[in-house]
Amino acid sequence: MTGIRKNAAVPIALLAALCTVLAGFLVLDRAFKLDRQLEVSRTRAHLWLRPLALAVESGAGGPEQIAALAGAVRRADPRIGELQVLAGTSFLYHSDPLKLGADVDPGDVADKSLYDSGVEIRYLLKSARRKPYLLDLDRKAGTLALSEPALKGRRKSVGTLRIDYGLEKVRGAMDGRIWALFLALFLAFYFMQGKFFKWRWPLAAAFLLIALAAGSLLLLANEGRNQAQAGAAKRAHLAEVGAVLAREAPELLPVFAADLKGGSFSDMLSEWKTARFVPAGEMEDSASGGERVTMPGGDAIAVEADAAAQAERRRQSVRQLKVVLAVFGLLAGLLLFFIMAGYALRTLRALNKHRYSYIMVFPAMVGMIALVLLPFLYGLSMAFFRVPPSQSGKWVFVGLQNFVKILTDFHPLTPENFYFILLVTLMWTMINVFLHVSIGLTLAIILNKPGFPLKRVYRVLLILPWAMPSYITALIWKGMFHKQFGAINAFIKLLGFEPISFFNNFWTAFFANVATNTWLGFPFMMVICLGALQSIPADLYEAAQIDGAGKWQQFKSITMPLLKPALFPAIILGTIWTFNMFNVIYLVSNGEPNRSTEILITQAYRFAFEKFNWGYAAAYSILIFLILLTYGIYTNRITKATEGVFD
Amino acid sequence: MAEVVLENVTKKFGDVTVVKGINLQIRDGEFMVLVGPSGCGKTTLLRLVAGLEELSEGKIIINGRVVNQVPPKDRDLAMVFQNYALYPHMNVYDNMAFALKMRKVPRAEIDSRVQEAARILGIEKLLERKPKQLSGGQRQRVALGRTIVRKPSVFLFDEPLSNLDAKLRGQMRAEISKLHFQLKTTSIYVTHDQVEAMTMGSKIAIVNEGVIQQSGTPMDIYDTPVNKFVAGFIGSPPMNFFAAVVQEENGQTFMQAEGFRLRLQGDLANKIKVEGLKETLFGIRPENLHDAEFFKKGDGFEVFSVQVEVVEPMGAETYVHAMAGKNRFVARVTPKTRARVGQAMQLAIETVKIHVFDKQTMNALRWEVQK
Amino acid sequence: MEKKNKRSFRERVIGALLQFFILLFTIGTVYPVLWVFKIAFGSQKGLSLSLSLFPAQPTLENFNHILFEKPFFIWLLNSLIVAAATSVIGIFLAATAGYAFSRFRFPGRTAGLLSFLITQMFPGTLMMIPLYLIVNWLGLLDNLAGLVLVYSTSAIPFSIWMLKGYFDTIPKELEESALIDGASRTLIFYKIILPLAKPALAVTALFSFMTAWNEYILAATFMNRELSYTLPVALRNFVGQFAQDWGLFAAGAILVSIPIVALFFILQKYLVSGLTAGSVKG
Ligand SMILES: Nc1ncnc2c1ncn2[C@@H]1O[C@H](COP(=O)(O)OP(=O)(O)OP(=O)(O)O)[C@@H](O)[C@H]1O
Ligand SMILES: [Mg+2]
Repeated sequence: MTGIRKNAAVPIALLAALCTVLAGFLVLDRAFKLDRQLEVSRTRAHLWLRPLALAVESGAGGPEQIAALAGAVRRADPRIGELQVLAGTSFLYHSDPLKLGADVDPGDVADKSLYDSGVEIRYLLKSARRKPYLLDLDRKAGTLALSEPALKGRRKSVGTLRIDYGLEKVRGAMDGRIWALFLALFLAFYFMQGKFFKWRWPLAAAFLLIALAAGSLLLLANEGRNQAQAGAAKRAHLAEVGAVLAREAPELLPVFAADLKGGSFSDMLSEWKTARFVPAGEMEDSASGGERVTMPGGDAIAVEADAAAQAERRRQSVRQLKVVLAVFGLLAGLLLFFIMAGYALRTLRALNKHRYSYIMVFPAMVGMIALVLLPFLYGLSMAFFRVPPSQSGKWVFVGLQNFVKILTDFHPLTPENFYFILLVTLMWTMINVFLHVSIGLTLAIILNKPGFPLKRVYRVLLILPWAMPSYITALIWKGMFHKQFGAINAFIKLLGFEPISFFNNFWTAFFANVATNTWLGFPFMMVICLGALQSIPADLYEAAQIDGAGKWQQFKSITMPLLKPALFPAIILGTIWTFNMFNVIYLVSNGEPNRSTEILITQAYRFAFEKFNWGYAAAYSILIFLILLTYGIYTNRITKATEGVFD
Repeated sequence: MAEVVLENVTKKFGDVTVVKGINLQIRDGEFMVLVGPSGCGKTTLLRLVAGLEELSEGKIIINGRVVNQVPPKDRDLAMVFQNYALYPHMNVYDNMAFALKMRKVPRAEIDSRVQEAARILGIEKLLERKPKQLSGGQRQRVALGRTIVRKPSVFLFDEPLSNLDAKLRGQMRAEISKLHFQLKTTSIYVTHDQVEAMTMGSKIAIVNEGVIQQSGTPMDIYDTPVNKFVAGFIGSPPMNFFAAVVQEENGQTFMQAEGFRLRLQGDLANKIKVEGLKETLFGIRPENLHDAEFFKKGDGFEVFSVQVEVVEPMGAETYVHAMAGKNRFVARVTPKTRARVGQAMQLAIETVKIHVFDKQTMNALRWEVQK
Repeated sequence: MEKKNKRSFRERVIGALLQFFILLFTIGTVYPVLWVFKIAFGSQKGLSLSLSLFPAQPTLENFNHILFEKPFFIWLLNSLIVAAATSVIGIFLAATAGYAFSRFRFPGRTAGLLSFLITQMFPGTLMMIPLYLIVNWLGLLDNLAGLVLVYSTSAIPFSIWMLKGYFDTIPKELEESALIDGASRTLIFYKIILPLAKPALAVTALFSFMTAWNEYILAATFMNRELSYTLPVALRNFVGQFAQDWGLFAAGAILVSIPIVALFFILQKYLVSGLTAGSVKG
């Protein structure tokens, strides 16, 4: 009973924390989206009103043309609800034809609604707003109302425009990926916690952190996309407006463009640094970093993005994000705090209780962390960057690009091809380990025979290759395979054949490598096998003999099974060592011919120290590590090599 | 010299409770033998006393001092391990001197104490040897010697004789008893061999599944086992058990088992009546079954017929394995017996010596033993 | 009984064949080593095309050259210092950690053991640059201490596993007995455990020593002045990119190998027991 409750406590706590965070993210996401929606709709409304305001300001073309333009504008966009153009105090245009030409002077207003809007407009006129003004925002109805002043000079108001505009639709306020992510995290935790029962609290904390980080990333990515979309929508709208202008009042186009450029009202357009009118025919290379919005006649408005403004915006949203994240992080943190406090107490207690153990392990651990783990992590991180050869250069984050490059390079049979090298490496490893084990085992069995003459002498001589420094023996073997002066070729000549140039052909070069490494590696296996054989009690064989087992059957049913516990770990270790056997390949064939006998580790070395492509080399090394890790886990599961070690 | 008291001593390994609330008092100079089947928690209990394991619950008091938090070296006790645990890289002398060196005893005194212990145990000639060069019995002596040089206030022995052959075991048993007689040191001795327990202990405690079933002097326990487990565990050959039903006939009480029936008398019959027992288990030790031919009939005896299966003459006595109905039992009869395998014979049973157990609880029915 | 006296013909043939096979194999194994001797005592600078194991004109010139015209003794001293320090430090760290892993059950034990195993899978190339940076940061480039640091940590995981395996086979009653006798944990470790683990310690020391004595890639990376070379780096340069002096190399190889081979043979009686005790028991 208590067991079940104890088990459920952590998932429930995590679920609660995840839900809190998720809710936070969803609210945030929604808020961001609404922000963008409003921005786009406002900008669109503003861009519709702007040319009309310009026309009112200049008075060019007379009231009819302005009215006609207003009519055209209204027809061009179904999202425009009401459109009013007021010059002085009388309507030049009103979507309600009855009110056209009406004066909003309170004196002669009979119509109640007209009276109201008159009051409003006069207020606007009097307060001489210099900027577009959001009169009304009705999210339920999905509309906004925007007013736009027409100014003479800097201050004098000559008119007011007003538009009711339908809001953009906000699609999918809830991001499916966030849900999926959180659900996946929770399920992952749920199924993992049994395995890591002791660590379930920190595990939960880690999962929460992952959720926070991943959620923030998603949110940032979403926000970036929203912004990009908003920018695109604005530009598209600019084209729409331009098209209407080109049709109805082409002479306004340059003024309009210049106005955008001046940016007097452009807090909504702040990311547009400059905008200018480009008449048709004026061929011009497109503005750098900008966009050209082309109208039907071929005219265009070139809009240049203001990188600084954009960056500022992004920074702002990041700042917002940080605040919100901090709040939610704090909440989630508080939730976990009580849990973690208990855990920390336990940890301290455990530390104290087992201090003797920890003191003993500590120095080795510190050494390992400083000189093995940290370098490894450093190397690991390099794989995700383009790392310049010089130490001072700046790392450029490239994500998984290095891995993608390595794994998608299918150049057939070249050293650039990862799969080819992998194949060579696998072949190299399997052949070597097979030879090591079979030779080592054979020799061990022979030398373990009771009464075998001179067995001590043989044993000493046969471990000689292990005792010699391997770089020396590798170089010796390289010399032995030398075409003109090598002992092997001397032997071949003695037999009456032509000397072979070993390093000109893949197979002979590969053979040279394998021969060297076999020579180097069998003594280790021999010693392991000898040790294991010696530990098999002789009476087992006697018992088997009495049971009528032959030599082969004794080998199969006694020797092999009892060798296994010693042999399997040795084989696993040997495989790992051979897989990463740098010395032999590097010193004997050195990749000859034509880099074809490289294995993964030497190839990684070349990328690092000959091409100075650190990031690539690191990615290569990580692939090697992953392969070995998979192998280790897999074989360990199958052979149970480490079984009982942890009891 | 010291007294050891265990109060509610409990030890858990993870979820398994190995020692369950043991209470035991070992008086000064007593030789307490803990006996029980393999895996019942004896070693664990001993290690708890030694301080090699941490208590989960309860108290251990040595000489009036609660030692729960006292490390092994400060508990002033010495332990003989089942596999002796002699240091393989030191010779016998150094093995014996090690503890004294640890305690910074002066050299001269170490030497005299080691020599004395070696003399007591008869291993003076072996002092230069390494443990590998000793026989099992010699190693055993060295292990003993190592503990007695310390002159601790408590000795702990963990099945010290289990690795020895039968003859040597008998000899060492006597030697340890002699040693205890000389030194009179409080000792706790663990074994699974009930013979060792009976012969050596001034007190014994029977342990099963982490619980002390009964403790007392050997003869007390032999005569009045409190439950079926103790009754079956102590004694060799073990006690015979039968399932039986209580019957009343003409004011007389009978115990009906398969194949025979016993008439009960006196206190026992009364007690059964008072308790209202119906289904019972009763036990009788082999030496309380006799060959009827050589036994005069009289009060307190019942005779019944059995089928002989095996006859084992031991010289001074003869064990007869026989069947009555489906019940199998062993009788320890006079060597003059004429029992033959496959034939029937008459057995006399001493009814006052039977042990009656409640079939549900397996606890013994307590009644006045008639001497 | 019978079998011993009258070995059958078949068995004798098999015995002879095995003997022959082993002999041949041993010759094949030893041949490259002897070949080095021939080159070292030969006069040519390069290799010589003949199977014979005796040089045409035996001379000590190569030895003379390497011993007295090169800073051989400085290199030797460097190598000795590095290797000795590595094995002492490595053993100390591995023995304490291995003991804790073997004897105590503490949170993080399994994870620690596993992580030591996993480090064996880290590819060396990945570690080189960061190691270089770390050693540089510590100001230990061109300094033997830098090499000692790196070597001793790289030898630790294997040593820990080996020692732990061996410690596992030492009965824990020995320690408990000592504990009751009044010895402290530290004293037990030094007076009881370490003496009993001598074979494994010897083998561990040997391996650590070999790691340091034989390694040349890191040494070549960290050591730039000729006088701070260790022997492998120096030797490698004889037949490197800029020189092809096989005679000198062979002479050096012999000089370098003699101590380590000697050490290996002295300790080889421990090799089998030290290496396999831990893994065979179960
Ligand atoms: N360290 C431990 N962890 C878990 N269980 C243990 C441990 N030590 C002992 N046990 C268990 O406790 C029980 C009692 O063990 P203990 O060694 O005390 O038995 P014992 O009575 O001495 O048996 P034997 O007569 O065979 O020596 C056994 O079931 C054993 O499996
Ligand atoms: Mg025991």
